Amino acid sequence: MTYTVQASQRTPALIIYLIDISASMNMVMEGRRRMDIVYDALSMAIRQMVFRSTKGNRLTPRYRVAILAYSDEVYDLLGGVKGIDEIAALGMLPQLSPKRFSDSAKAFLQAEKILQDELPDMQDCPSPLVCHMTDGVYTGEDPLPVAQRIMEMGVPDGKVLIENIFISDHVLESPIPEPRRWGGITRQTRLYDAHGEKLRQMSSPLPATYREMLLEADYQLSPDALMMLPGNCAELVSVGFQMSAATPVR
Amino acid sequence: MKMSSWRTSHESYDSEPLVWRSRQDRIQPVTSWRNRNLTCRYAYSPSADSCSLGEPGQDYGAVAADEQTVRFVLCDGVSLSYRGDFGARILGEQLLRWLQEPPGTDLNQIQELLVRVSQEAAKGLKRLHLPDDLPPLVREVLLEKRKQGTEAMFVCGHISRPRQGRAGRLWLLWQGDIRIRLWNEDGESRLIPANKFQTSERWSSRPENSGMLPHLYTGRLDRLGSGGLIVYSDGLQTLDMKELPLSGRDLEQALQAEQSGGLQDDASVLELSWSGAAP
Repeated sequence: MTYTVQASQRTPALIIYLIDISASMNMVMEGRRRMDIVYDALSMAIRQMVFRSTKGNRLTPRYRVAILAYSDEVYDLLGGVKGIDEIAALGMLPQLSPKRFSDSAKAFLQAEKILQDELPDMQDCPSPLVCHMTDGVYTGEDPLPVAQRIMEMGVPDGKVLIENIFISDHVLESPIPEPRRWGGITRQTRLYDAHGEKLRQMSSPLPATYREMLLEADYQLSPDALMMLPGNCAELVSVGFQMSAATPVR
Repeated sequence: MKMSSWRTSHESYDSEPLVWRSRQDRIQPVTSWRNRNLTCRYAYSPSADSCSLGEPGQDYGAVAADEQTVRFVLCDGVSLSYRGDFGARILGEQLLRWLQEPPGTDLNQIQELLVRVSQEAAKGLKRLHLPDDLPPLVREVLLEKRKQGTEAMFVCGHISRPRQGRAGRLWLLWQGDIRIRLWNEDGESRLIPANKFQTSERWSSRPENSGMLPHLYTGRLDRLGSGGLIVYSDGLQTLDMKELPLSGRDLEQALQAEQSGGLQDDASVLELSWSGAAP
């Protein structure tokens, strides 16, 4: 497992976003609805992929993306896996509308199905990534078993990565004063939230290549950091989405 | 884009001066030129992605040689910057022109030259037009990239060829992760260890983005002896583990990149070697 295969037109990276749209996403953080902060961060991640996919004056489809919003049902916002060129042509992402519940297991099950369909044709590609954003306790089945199955899937570049962005004010002992100087959540970090502990078990170690990309953006996550971010401010939510698009490119 | 087979490489044995400037929009197979005891090999290819889109490669290579001197440049445009192809070409052309005179070793003067090239490149960028048919998001991103400037990693060199009663000199200047490998009868020496490439070092049309000064190396070339120098862009990193000197087959295989289904990155290589006597 190296996580070094570069995203290219011939070997595009696959990123599956799982976005919690439960009612609590209407709550306000830094004067804005959590949902709006997530929408902006997701839009910024798409923009980052476009930035990393342009060579000369052309957009080369180095990324393929699926966006699944979930409550008690799963909503496929793009109608399947789409190339970054197709998404760029849309102009803007479909709006996210908060619903009631938060059945994350259903969303992971759909991600698993996408991966089962896609992986046979992705053997030369970068390892896929599932980026899960939630703000609270799941309803429905426990998502951990299916997440663990997903983390056992993979391609020669490495096993499928799962990243969790957990919007919560309580998962850490205190707020993070300087996100750019923060080392990240490791296996040893004390968490003050049982759901946060569950999400930690569902989070992959941060590959060195991703860490280097984040270093270039001046985020100094430690070598043993996990792909888990406590989204207790808009900046950290944004870092989480930037992390999802940090597949190596040339 | 004109596509040609790597296996159609050819050799020239005449003693006419050599001048080669890469075309960025086409594959140029391994080509050899020989003069006295000096052999020069060079090749160029855009990546498989660029070939399929009809886009130019973002490397630029050039070499010029005559009986007294050899000067060369190899630039690797940064694809995350704006129009790395443009940056690599303008930097390469200016450095090759500057090397018409034997270069000095004052890094501050060299840096002044690089800043002048940056200023010229910045003016040139303003004259480049974006295609009209771009989606708004792509246009926005390209305009943002253009503000950040064009960037390239590079190596350039000047060889004063030794003659009867006078040693020669090798002068090299570089910034970034271009591979630079030297060898002689005693083996290979790398100016940059394989695990120490500084991808953050680069020339930029915005000099404030360049960071530190470029690196400089000078060495004496004795009249007798065998050895050589090979420089290549990271698109040919599969050569990193190969022992020097490389065979023609090594070069062709790396450029074909059949095992990975084609070149993942633009690739350019330039090799100067001498046997029995220095260049």
